[in-house]
Amino acid sequence: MGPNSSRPRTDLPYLRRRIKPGAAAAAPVVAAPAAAPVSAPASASLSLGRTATAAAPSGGGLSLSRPPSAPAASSAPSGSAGLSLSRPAPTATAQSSGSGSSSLVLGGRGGSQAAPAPSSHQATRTAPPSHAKPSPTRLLFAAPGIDDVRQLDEHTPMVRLNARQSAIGTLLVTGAGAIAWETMDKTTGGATVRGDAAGTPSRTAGNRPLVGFQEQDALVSLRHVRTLRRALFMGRGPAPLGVRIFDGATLTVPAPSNGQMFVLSLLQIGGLLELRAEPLPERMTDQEIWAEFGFTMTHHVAAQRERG
Amino acid sequence: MGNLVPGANAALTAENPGLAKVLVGMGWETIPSLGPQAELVPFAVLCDSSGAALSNDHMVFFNQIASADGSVVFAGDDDTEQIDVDLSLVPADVAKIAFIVYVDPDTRGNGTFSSVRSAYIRVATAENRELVRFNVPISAADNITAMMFGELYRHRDDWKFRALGQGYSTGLAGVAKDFRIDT
Repeated sequence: MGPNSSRPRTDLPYLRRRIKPGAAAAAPVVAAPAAAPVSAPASASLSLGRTATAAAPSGGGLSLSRPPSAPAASSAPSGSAGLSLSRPAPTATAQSSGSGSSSLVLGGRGGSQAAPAPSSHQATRTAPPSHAKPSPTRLLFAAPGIDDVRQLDEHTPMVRLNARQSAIGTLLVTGAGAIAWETMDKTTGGATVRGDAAGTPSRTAGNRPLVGFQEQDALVSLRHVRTLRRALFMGRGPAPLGVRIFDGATLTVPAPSNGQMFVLSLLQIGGLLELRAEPLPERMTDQEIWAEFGFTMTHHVAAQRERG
Repeated sequence: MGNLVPGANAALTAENPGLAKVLVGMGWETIPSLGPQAELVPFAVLCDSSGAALSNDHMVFFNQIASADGSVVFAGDDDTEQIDVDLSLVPADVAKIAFIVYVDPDTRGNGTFSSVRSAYIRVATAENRELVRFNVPISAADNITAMMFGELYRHRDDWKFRALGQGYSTGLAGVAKDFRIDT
């Protein structure tokens, strides 16, 4: 009896282990089924345990301990949403899907590997720089810019700044009574306009706070935007929150009314800043809001660094 | 080739046949300060024949590290900043690539070039063999908040480098206006 010369059965997963290495190399690549998109209702607000709700509260009621860092979950919009877990394939359809076409993408490494190159002609023209990584911005859904929106509210809950707006000068927030921040190294801190502070101060190489108050205004040093993971700006009124960036563009977030307040949430995703107005009950304390967003202040890190 | 003076130029591809990629290194030192200090940000702009940026996406800096065509890429920090330029990939409608450094316009005192020393720009081969260097003269820089260090430009079928050292007192906003970039 001669050797088995039949074609490998790649359609039967349990048989794949029997393929010899040489034959395996020649076998066609099978796309991971996990990369297949799953449609979700347009209005769906998906809550997946602690990490998702921590970054995207949709009305309160959840008290969360600090979740593990989950940038992908943090990018999930609270109102209209597509939720991306892990790294879905960087396809053109993922990039072009509008905010109204909410889609849930549950993809892992398999999906990414099986995905086609985002731009085949670019790949052939130039080798990517050695330090280049797949940009998470490729996964972002379409969003309005700050020039398109005057006010963030229930109807227009978020805007995304472009790469230049996100990285030049200072982002200024007026009307905030308290702020909280989390850096990319997972240290967190908070401060109030009255001068109270908690957690870990975060200073930049320019000897300025990464996020902090100067007199009545909260400021974010955008030169170091990539070291900031997220921040919260809490306004108790009576004035609305106001946002201004280097190019002069502004927007506002409504002051509390009828028992509801908006927290301005800032997320950094691949160097781009997303600003969101998150509705919460006005009765919530700052500490409850921290918990709602999964913040736990990192006191011990600050003490250790000062000794070092 | 060697050190240039402001306004001088150097032939790159004409004197180095086969030169398809260059490394542009920029560097400087700043006098340390206990308080808020100037934070310098280098960037490159791909310009058309009128001197304007081809588009906003043709400004390459730390938060937009490659041009859309892949010809200009922020590469590393052996100098304060290194930028790879693949001359063969530069679109035909790009007449020059300007290399500029601005002081980040932080509202909490952004500073000027007065605290900057030993600024330079150099052009090297892809293997980091230095072809030309320009030590940027920085004097009376108390009101300088952005500076053009130099530029690569087309000359017929070749690429040349010009040393500039041209300061702006209007900072990034002035630079953006000149290059017609929406910041």
